[in-house]
Amino acid sequence: MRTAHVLSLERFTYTYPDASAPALTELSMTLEDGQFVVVAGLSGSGKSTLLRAACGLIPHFHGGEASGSLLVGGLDVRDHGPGVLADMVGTLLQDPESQVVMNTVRAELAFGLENRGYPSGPTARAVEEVALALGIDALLDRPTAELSGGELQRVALGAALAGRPRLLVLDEPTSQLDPVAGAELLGLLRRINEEWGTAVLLCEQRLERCLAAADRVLVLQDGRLAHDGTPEHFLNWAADHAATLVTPAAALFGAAGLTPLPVDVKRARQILRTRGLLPDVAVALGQGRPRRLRRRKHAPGPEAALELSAVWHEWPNGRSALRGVSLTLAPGERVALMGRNGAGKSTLLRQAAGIIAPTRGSVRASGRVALLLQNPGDYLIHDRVEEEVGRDELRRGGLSALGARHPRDLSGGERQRLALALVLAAGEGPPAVLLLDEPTRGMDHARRQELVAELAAVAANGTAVLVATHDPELAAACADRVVLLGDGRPVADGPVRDVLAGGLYFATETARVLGGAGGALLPAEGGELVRGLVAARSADMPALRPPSEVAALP
Amino acid sequence: MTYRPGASALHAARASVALVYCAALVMLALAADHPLVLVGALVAVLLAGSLAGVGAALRRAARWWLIAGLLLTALNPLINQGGVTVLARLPDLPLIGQRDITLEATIVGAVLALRLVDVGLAFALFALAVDPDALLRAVRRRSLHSALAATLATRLWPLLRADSTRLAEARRCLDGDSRPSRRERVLVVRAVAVGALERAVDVAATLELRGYTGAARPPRAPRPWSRHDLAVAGAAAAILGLAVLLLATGFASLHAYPRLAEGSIVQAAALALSAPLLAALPFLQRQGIAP
Repeated sequence: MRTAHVLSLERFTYTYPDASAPALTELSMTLEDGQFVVVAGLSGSGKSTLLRAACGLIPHFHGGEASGSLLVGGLDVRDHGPGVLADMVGTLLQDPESQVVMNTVRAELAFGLENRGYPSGPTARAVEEVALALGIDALLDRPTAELSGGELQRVALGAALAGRPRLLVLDEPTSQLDPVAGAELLGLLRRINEEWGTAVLLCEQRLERCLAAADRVLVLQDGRLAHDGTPEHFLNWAADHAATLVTPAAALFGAAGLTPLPVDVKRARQILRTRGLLPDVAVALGQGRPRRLRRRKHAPGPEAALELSAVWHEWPNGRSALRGVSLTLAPGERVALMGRNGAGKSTLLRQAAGIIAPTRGSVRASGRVALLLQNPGDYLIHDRVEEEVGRDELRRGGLSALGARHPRDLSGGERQRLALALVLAAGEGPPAVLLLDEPTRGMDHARRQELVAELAAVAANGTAVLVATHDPELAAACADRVVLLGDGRPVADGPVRDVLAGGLYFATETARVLGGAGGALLPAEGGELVRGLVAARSADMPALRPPSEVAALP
Repeated sequence: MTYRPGASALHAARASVALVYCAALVMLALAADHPLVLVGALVAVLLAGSLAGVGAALRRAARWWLIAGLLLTALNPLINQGGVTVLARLPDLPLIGQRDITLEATIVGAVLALRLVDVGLAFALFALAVDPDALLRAVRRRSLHSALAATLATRLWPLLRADSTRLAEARRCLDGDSRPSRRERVLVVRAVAVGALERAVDVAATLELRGYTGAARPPRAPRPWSRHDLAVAGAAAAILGLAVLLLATGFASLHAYPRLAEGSIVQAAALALSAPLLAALPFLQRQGIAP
């Protein structure tokens, strides 16, 4: 019999084995069929634990102690393991690499259905349909080993959806995707939610990406349910109780003193337009048309910290990852390297660090080049933190208290701080260049702010910093200049305001709300701009629409 | 060295039949004593690989097996002191004393090496041209737990390879051009091993989430035998027949000790020629295979 609630928790408490405190405490909530629910919270707040409980991995797979009840489609997770719940729940966890178990995409999509004893005919049909729905039909006969991260993520999502589950559980599905692929994936999820009636329980750090699609937002704090409401209510609550969860558009409105707080760019622009506060981009820029981006001329000088001259990288199969890239970094300069998945960002960093040699062109650095790869855990091979790096470096990184801990027991943010301290201390003196590959993957806002401060301090010592990132908010906060790679070559290279204020995808949310007006990239800058407009309008046009009228907007 | 869908009779044949074909090539190598027959078996494997479109990958794999084979050829006369035809008498060496290098032990070493290369390349052909997913599906009908272990192992291998590459890359970021110390290398290997446990847990969690552990025996999916199934099965049966002939009749045998005594060279040559011919036969049928 089909139950009303696809997920129901009643005073559910869970403690991991050997943990001193519960990861989830007295959690009570329900999720109806067809709802799209976003779970928000800082790192360690219990989001992933809730998701793992909803798919039955907790307590069956992880062990530990559970009390209260958690029912999935009326089945208690303590009596029914993930294999049984797989009939109702499709799950997509963070790392797509370890979620693909078969060798071809077709076999991967069919795998779950075969396990449930589907005959071959219906299995083949379900595979074709889910592949078409997700736009991966061209990949069906490709080996999974050859897929990119974004393709793997889609295939893993397809495998979770092939059996048409009632509930789809997703743990940061866009964390490895560029803004374009992330937006596509979330659009896809919303379409599946609307057309198939699949309930979605999604945990995501970049709330600005998914809030517009959500019916409800749950906020977890220290394993407890701190808030449960609509996205609009969530933003109002977060503004008062959890500032780090406020989206950039809402923060912009907060800084400008405007209400209601918008859940997405469309709503924000609608409110501003209604109030006559949407800046005229041409006027704001002081020109008749948006400023044209010019590629920098790279005049190599003796002062350059890093200089790449017309570098190419061609793979053995003939594909070019980089096509004649020239890039110069001055000492102390902070540059963000952006672009889609597969644009060549990681290859460029590896060339700059000397890990791979360019097939053509040359790389020169004025001193040591330090590279922090995507997974900081790859640097940590000892049993104790203090064995990885010296005491002075630990103190400088704020890690002195963790010296006796095992590196694998550290949180993601702590691991990254340790790995950063390690690469900075690897040679004599500070490095000439620091390269970072996707340093904010799966990172919450608070840790991102810490990283921005750390990078500013490194650059202040004369080290040039090059950060490859998909995160426009990070680029805006930490870089002086942005280089945008497309198909292995720079398609834009200029001051951060020029590049990030004018893009559709590679732009901060503030810039997209304000259409790039005034080069405002961060909420505080945008808020100041809008306040200026409010003041100007108040002087010129006293009759603004009342807030009640704005709140009634659809 | 991983399977990729391809356009050949071996790829088109059902996985169980392709497995038997590769197993027949292994059996032939194990059954043969005579170097000529073993060379024939080697040519058979290389020819099959080339006709299946995996020749380049097979040749890459051959380099490693040849190195192992040469090592075996060199070691056997040092370890095995059988045989009466002394080619060289080594001086008194520490630990092993004085050793005679005999023609017989050298020939036996070469035969063992040739057999090793044959078997290794037949396995490589299997890995390159037989769809492991389809094979796993077939095995699951017989033994679920073996299939589970095989799934974990096959999925873990590429993950661990990727992990070790990343860890080594991270070390290079820290060490620059200087070579890592032996202790560091041990620590990296240990980190990969520890990571293997985590990876195994992740893959096991995924298998749980896909309902693998609670899966019922998959339904039988009857599939008519294609001409490629029949051709590859026929070739496999014929090659197995050769192996049985060698074992049962002692054709083309080789007795090494105390003195070399080989069977009829004509028989050996005939068998050596027939092995590649039989292995290549199914590939002549290209109807229904994309160019």
